[in-house]
Amino acid sequence: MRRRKERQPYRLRETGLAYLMLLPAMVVFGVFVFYPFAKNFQLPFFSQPPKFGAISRPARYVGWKQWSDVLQSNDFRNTLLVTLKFTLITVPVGIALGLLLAVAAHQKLRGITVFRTIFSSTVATSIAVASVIFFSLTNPIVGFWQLRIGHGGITESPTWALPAICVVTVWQSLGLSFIVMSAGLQSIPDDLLEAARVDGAGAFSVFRNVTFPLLTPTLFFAFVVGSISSFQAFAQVDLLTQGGPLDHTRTLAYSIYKTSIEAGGPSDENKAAVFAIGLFVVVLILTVLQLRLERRVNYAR
Amino acid sequence: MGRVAFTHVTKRFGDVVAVDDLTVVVNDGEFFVLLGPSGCGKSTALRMVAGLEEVTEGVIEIGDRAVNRVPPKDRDIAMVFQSYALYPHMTVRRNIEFPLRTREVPRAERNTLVEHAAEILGLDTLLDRKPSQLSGGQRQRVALARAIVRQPEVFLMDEPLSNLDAKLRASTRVELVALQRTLATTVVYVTHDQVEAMTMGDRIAIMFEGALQQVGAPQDVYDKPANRFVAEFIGTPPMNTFAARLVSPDTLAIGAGTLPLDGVVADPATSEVIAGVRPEHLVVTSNDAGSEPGDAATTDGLVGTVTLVESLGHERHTRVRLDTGTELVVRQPASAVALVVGRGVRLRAKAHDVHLYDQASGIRLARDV
Amino acid sequence: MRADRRWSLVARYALLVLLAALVLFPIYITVVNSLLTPARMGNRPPALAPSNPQWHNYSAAWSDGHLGRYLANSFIVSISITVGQVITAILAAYAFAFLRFPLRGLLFVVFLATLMIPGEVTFFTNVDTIRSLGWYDSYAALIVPFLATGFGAFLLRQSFLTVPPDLRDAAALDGYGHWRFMAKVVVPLARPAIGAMSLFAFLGAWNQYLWPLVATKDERLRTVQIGLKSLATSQVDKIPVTYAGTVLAFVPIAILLLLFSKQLVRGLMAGAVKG
Repeated sequence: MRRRKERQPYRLRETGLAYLMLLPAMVVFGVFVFYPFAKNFQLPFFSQPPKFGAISRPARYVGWKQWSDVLQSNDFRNTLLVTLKFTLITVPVGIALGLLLAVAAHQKLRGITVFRTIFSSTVATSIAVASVIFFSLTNPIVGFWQLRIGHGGITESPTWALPAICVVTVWQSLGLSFIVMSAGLQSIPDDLLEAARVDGAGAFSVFRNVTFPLLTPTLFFAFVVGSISSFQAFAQVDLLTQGGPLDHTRTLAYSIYKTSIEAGGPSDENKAAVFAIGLFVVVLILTVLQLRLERRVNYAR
Repeated sequence: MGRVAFTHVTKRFGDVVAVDDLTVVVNDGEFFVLLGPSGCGKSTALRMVAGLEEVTEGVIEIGDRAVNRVPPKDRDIAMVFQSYALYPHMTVRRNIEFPLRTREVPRAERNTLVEHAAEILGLDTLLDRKPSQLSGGQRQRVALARAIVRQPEVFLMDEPLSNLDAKLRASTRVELVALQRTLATTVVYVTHDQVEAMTMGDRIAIMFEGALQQVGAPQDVYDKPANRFVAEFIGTPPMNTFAARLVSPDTLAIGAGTLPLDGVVADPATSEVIAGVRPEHLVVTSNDAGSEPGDAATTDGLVGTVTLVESLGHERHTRVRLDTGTELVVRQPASAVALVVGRGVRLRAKAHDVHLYDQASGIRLARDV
Repeated sequence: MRADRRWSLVARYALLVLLAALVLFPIYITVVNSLLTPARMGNRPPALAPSNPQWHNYSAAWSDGHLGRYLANSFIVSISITVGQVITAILAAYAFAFLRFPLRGLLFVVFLATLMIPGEVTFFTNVDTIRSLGWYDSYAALIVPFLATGFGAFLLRQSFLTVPPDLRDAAALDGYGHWRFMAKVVVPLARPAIGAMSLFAFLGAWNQYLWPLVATKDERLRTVQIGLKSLATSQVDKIPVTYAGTVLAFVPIAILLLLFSKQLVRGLMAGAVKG
């Protein structure tokens, strides 16, 4: 038992130690996460005129006008539309295919582990690897699938470029989707499925009445995580289409990049900040959605 | 007809034989218990009746038809799982009516049957709750309601009481038997608990390492265990077994002592046998008391020393170490004179209460009386 | 009716093989094409197996394509980030799990909040920051911004919280200070969680694309992912080398994940529990 007097310095020491331990992470977060995040709220109020020769000119205060300009711009609208289309295609398809693979691999067959390994294999590919594979495989001259659309390859077709990006994205995410859906399937107790069989349900009925409802938490999780990830899609666009043709694949992350950084072009961080906030808002909404509904969707044991 | 028949049924998982040549018939309307320790094959046998495991060899019949190839849903059975297996995302009502919905029973009839089942099991106020909102006992009733709602031929129960606390278990036992009597269906009930088996079963089948050891009414199995395993498994405390030697047709020698025998051992292969006497059939007297009048056919009994006396309130368990080194347990009424540890004693038994088993195979040695 | 069982088995395996082929096909064809000549690549019917493996495509990818250097860079950067993240996560998780201090709850929320701010929202300002620090186009730029992670702190804190309180009391009685306790008791006990976290950190760092793209331009610092960008070409005679480079980029991670598949699933499921 410690006497009161000794307890105080101990507690102080703990506090000091704790702050010391948290310091490295906090410094990194402060400089590279919170500062740039906060700056996004300040940037759109200003406009950075181009350099006068080698001299940078001070930023001009422009108030709310730039905000409304960007938010009402065609670029912003198009970007959101493209990203939404992209998400609405890749996320449900990715989940459905992952579920299909998971159900197929959930059987007690000899050698099923081999199949499970194969189904999760795309987790070892990065989106860049997947994009380059796709790019090469669809080369109009020497690709395995010589896809010629109009004058060039598939990535130059305004109608087919976005679907192509979707295909690459879905394929690359199959491994992860499979792993997540598998885990969900495995969390369903075997005796529930047996009870359903004894209760008279055929295979489809078992799936519809027992398996699928109990998968809802997993599906929900996959949907949210998948959506957040698809709003961040960048590499496949940069590698395959660079936002084109005609901005038909200009996703949100790519817009931010193009607007803010592109070397040699009109780069404008002030405008990009608005897009960045847009991305943040989407992520925030999806995360809150998941936290709120997660309880409702989970069946407490 | 609710008859269930196993004919030379064997189940193999790879090289492991889980059920070995099981042949037994469960009669229509019977409460039939499959009893045995973990891993004896009783659950596997039950699951084969349910159709959840495939039969490797042999035939299982329900009613008059062989059901080896028939899927579970077409076998007219219901099953209560050890974990109850309630659908967590459905209300109690939906859980109970599930077997009816899968068979496309029309709504009006469904509601009637569900309400009827709920009433029998006292669940009528809980119909709109979800399983997570119920107690263990209530969940078990829901599992039962789901099983009875279709009024199938055969109920299969896999250790349904083992997840309940002791008090609830005792009262539910009574209710289950009453339920079965009311519904007059066949029940095949799996348990490792011999108290459940003895109190609930019309007949019990004891299994060990996949093989059927004995089938019979509880009292018959208790009085005449067919082999050493059954003798030592049924009864609390278990039957005392010890090595003995047949010195004459009516005398058994154990160490310096003897026990009487009645009848003649049909075909004694050797004179070395295993003898068994239940703890309640042994009478203890301290050494200087001599033989007691009124005991028919007693001899001098077994020689031993008291090592421990456990008082249970209503009776006493006295442990005696024989001169051969084996330790026996004797059940004494609380009114008997308490013995002191270290006392020399003699243990006597009636010839009729001495069981003999083959030393090698453990099989009961028949005696013609 | 053994026959119908056999048919059902055949059908099941057939479906599995079909699905496996669909999943694996792009990777398989990539490997095949990496061993073809440009001429063979274009011929119809397309090759399903290389009859005359052009192994030199791989050495071309490695040296001319600089893939050797890119892989080394990715490795250096990923290892550094992983080590950094593990250290900062252990420290932070220890503080959150074992120490009592004001604002503890709030600070933990702050850590979790970083998970809601994706890199795409912060990168351009970070480039400016890097430039003003003079780190542009350096390893520091690739490594330092990622030395801490909210996910790691969360995962390890959960793991640390499972250390039985009795152990803490026993260690206190034995005179263990916090550092000794951390090093000798907590970290060894949390090895599985640390393993899972390391795998994730490494994988995340290895797969980074946007940041290396904007934070460096010198070809000597290029990581594998950006290197693939320069390898990707429409020039027909170079495409087999591209394929070879892709395979070289893919194989190390495939091996890594095969070895540590348990950690992978564990880390993923931790994310699911967190919600």
